[in-house]
Amino acid sequence: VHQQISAGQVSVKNHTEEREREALIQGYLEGSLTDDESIRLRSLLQQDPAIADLILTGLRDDLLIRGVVAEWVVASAAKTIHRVRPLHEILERVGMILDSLRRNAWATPAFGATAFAVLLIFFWIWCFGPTAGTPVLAEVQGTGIVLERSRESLAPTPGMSLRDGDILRTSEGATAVVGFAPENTRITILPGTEFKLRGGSHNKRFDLNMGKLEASVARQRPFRPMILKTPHAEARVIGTRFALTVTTNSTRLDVTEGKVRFTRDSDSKFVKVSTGHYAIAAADSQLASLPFTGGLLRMWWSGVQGNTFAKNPRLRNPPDGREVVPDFELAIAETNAVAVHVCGYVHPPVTGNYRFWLEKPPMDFAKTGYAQLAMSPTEDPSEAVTIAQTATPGNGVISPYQAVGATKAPPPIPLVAGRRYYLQANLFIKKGKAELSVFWLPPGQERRVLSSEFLSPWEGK
Amino acid sequence: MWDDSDVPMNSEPHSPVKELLAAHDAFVRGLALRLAPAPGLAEDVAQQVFLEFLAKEAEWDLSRDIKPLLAAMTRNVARRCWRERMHTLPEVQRELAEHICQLAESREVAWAGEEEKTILRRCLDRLPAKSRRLIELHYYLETSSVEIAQQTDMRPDAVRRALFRLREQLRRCINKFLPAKSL
Repeated sequence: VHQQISAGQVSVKNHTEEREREALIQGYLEGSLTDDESIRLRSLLQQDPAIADLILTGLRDDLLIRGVVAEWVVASAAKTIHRVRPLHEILERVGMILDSLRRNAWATPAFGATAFAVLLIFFWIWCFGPTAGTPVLAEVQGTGIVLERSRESLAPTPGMSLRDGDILRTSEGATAVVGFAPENTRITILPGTEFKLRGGSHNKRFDLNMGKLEASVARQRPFRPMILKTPHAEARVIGTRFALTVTTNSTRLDVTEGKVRFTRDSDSKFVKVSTGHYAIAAADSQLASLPFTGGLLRMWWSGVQGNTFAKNPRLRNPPDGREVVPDFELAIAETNAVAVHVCGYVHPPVTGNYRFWLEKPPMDFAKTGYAQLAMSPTEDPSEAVTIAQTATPGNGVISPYQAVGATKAPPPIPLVAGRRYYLQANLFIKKGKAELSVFWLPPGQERRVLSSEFLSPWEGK
Repeated sequence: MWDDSDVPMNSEPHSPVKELLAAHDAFVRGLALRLAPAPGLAEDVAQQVFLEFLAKEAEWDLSRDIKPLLAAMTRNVARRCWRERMHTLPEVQRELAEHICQLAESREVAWAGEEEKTILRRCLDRLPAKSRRLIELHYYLETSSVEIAQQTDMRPDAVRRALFRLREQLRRCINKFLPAKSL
């Protein structure tokens, strides 16, 4: 689309320049250029000296025409009206012709047909386009739901019409569904949520102050998007399915279908979040549309000799198998000469310093295998560096970064929320059974296995 | 300066000198156009060259090739006429004309012969009525596009473009009917 727009713009520009060039050349040929026009024509000649050819050809043809025009006018006049038309008559006729040309340009059948088609489309959208329903409390599940209207608490019942300013609060275990019949739009308000209507009956504008909602929104009328505001962001929706989660410090948008424009309040920056992506608006988080989290890519090769990935010819071939695994806690069945490569992205939930551990290899791992964990400061795999590894078989050296089962804490790694970082683990098993786990310590949290909600599979081949 | 009294205006129409000049007409006009590329100036230069040539007819050895002589005369006359024309122009327009003159000097200009004029008459006859009237206005009645624009409530640029395209149309028509050797 960008290319087409660019090509169109270039075409329009060329056309305009050509028209200007023609007018200036003609002005020179008849000696009627103004000073400004003379400067402009000179500038064009400097850019394109070939214009001089057009000028010379024009001068020559003008002289040629002038050489025959008197005789031709007299002869043609004698053929038709037997007299030379007076000047005012000729001018009048020319004026009429030029006016007619201008009028006809607008009244061509093509223009009429186009205008009619546009009107027809507009009429069709107006009559048969998406309808706009009014908000109704469609379903109520659980007892902990409160509807606050004009500072009074009402007992919500299914089918109740909702008004501008109404606030719905759901407590633990309670769920409410707001519908907009006849249009197929539903907003499910999950437990622990505060949801406020603030757009009147014809505008879908809501505040989500806390909690979570899931919405399935039918296509909205042109220029009437659904707008959801949270303390940190605004989501503008034309027609889609998504979930919006608000915590004290952040708002998270998960889009399962369609596209939502997500704007951060603090700096008005926005991203368009499309199907299968999410974005977080928070003070210490980068606003970006990222793929959904959920697992890692695991590939394996059997019959592998050696213990390095970089120089191993066997690993240049496609893997014997590949699958998406839920988290970084892998148990490898007892086997011989196997290489396992696990890769993906880690999505830090908050900005801060993180620590990573390799865990649970067999006791004699140094003799039977080798494991290595590498991480990139960006999402580019080529920038990955080793952050933890076991002793390599044969030399018994332990990585200064992190040793298996070491008591000393690994060095902190600063990560920014809203970004994703490439992470990979390599495991060689010469003989026997092995396990591979990666633990992490997010800021202010417990040390735990790096689980699927913070991981997404590698997208490369 | 050239003096009217020196010109043999009563020369016979088919005298050998005039035939010789007619044979070199295209050469002189083409050269004049390259050396003096301003509206109408090439025609003036060519006429002046022919008049001066005829005025000194007795001095020339007509048995030899007169092309170099005509070329030298055309250069002198063109230079003189150009200088005179430039004095009448405002500075900006003079700079433009000088720039065009520099570019034109290195270019080739094929001048129209009688055959081209005959074809042009046929092409003019084929024009639609509105184009014929525009030709009449501009080339016959010497109405500039600015004046046409004022009288017809159009923008001068629109009239200029119409004239430019009309001339291009005539050129295409001429080239279509002109034998290939003449192109």
